[in-house]
Amino acid sequence: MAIDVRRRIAVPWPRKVTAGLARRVRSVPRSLALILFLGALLSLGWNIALPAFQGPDEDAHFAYVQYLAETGSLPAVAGNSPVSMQEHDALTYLNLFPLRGVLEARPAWSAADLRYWTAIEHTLPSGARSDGYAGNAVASNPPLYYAVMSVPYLLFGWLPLLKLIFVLRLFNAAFYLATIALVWVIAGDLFGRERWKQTLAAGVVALEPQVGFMSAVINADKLLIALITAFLLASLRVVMRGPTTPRVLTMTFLAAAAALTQGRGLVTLPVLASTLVVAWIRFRPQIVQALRQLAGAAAALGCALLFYLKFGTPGGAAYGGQASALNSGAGFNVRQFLSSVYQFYLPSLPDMQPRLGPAYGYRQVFIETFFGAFGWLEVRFKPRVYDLLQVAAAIGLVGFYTACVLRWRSRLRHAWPQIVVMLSLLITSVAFLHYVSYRSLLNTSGAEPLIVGRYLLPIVSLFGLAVTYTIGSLPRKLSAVAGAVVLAAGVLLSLTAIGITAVRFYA
Amino acid sequence: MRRLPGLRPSLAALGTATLATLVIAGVLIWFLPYLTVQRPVMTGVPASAAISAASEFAVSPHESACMQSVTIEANSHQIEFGVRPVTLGGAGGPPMEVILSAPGYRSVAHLVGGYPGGRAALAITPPANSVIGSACFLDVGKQKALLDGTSEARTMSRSPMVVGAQPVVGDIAITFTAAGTKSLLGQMGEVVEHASNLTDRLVPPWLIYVIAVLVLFGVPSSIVAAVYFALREQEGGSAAA
Repeated sequence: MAIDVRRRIAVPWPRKVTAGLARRVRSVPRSLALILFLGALLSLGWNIALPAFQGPDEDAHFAYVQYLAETGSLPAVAGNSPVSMQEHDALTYLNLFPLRGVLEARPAWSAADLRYWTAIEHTLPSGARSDGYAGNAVASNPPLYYAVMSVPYLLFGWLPLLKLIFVLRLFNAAFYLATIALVWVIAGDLFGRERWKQTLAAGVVALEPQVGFMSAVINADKLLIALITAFLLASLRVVMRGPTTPRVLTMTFLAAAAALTQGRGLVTLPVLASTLVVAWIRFRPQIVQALRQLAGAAAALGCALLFYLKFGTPGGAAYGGQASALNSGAGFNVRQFLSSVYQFYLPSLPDMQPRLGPAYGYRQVFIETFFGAFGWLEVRFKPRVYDLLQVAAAIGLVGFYTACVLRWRSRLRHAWPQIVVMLSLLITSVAFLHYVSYRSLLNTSGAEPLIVGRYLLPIVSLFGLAVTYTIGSLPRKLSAVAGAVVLAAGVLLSLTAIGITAVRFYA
Repeated sequence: MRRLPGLRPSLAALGTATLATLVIAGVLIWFLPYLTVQRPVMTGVPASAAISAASEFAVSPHESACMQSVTIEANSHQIEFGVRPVTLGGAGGPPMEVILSAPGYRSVAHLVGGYPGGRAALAITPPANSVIGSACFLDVGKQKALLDGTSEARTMSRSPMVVGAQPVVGDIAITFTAAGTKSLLGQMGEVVEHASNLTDRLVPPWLIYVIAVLVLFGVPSSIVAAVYFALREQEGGSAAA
């Protein structure tokens, strides 16, 4: 038998890879490709509209990335050098520090200012990028996001600071695009390969203004959102297709990665446990197989924990931010906590103690700062926009409830494993935020409720899926019209958000 | 009355038309007035006011309060700041001179005495190009004046201040504005220039215009097209079923 050597040589591997990639790109559904393109445009728009360090805690997150990339070490929690000299000088001489959260302030934006800053940057000593070693406000965060962002930093670290931040934000946008694609896939798994529902779910997430905004901010939340969305997909596949070892391990690795990204990633652990229980109830695997999977999952989590303890803790608390409030400070009072949660959503009853802390509840977290509070929360839509969003959210909730009730017997009852997984993610996330908010209020004598709507973004996929389920339950034509209304609102809100942010900083 | 089959809008056409109509209506109703309404033009804020604890800086007769590293743009025609006399009532605040200077540039603005206190807006001569220099507030009267500002750490600007001959921690809140009013569309050149400067010119102004047009038209067009393809595929699937 003759071997066609010439034919083998004629197709070198790079071309094969390129051809494979091209095939894969061509196989991306057109609607998804368009939504990803839209997402890339929005992220680019946000990147320009938002000057350096004007996203929430962006100065601290960038300082963490910079120190890790420059030195290979993690910054310390306590100390007096939270950012590098380079970053400190940029914050000072470009007036970017007093700009944070102060609506009347403007950056040093002129050509003369840029020349001034360039001259300063050129005279900085060689260690000016690597001396932000201690006192970083996010130093208690686990290191995964910062380690990932160190890669583009190392590639482009030679750029001047403002250019470097712009480039790092471009890389950051990949997490946003990944989230959109993952929501598309989840919608396909849940609703069947119905393009309209997949488009609606992915479109709703892409056009949620706060998600777009965060895509251009150097902040660990972006990776957390992508990882928790991926974790939801993996969990759903475990309960829908069966708990094979690769699926269980994938889900576990994603949970571990989320926990290594941000304290709020810990919410995946109870969901992981409930998913395994549901999968074993549904598929009843053999004891040996179940134990093997359990051991694999435990080993993966154990490795993540060991890795974190060995390399990922900068000293002091194991987690910072919201997670540090889990078990700290004043005593926990169950009655007061439940009353606090009740009053978060509903007006207080006559004999109730007033809620601890400021007037801060459903409207502020689920509407105002979930849909749109940009910059350091100071850039906002007009109040009537939030009024309309609150009305729309109420209509949506009623519609969602109605759709669930009407379809319970025919469809939903059979999808109980998926519902348990999604509900457990929703309940764990919201309960976690309420708990840490209550703890924080106790610890700060009611001054700091700690939570904002941005912290709900890791479960933004559930928001997109709920909207899609509600609208998808309508008659076909009504569904097309209602979906169009929701997406049009998303477009207008997203473009408005970029516009008002650019005006706030540059006009 | 029976409807002709050919005139029944398809699902894709219905969804796409609704989406496109709403976006266009929103742009016309919401965006256009915002972009075209005339408003004062801020040309620079060397130092903003305090957020929670306002500070006042006293300037004695024949003394001055000077801030360094103040940027004055070529389109700045007016300086705004808050000032009041030490004692309320009486003859009012002392006359002041505001002296802006930088290499090759000097402008002096006069505030007539006798004011009750509040926000002052004085005309200045702008420099030919944007410059970085100093802004001095000279008390040319016979009593002290109090200038509004901040000494909060989080609102302090880059500009060091000297009152009399003493360095003082804090800033006088200063805003520069242009002559007259402009719409946001009319300010687009400056907005784009500022944005470009804050990327260290990595994104030049012309590219910002391109990106702005892409975002403004690309985002709505992409979602309209995505909805069209999705609903058309849905229709195809339903028909096949």
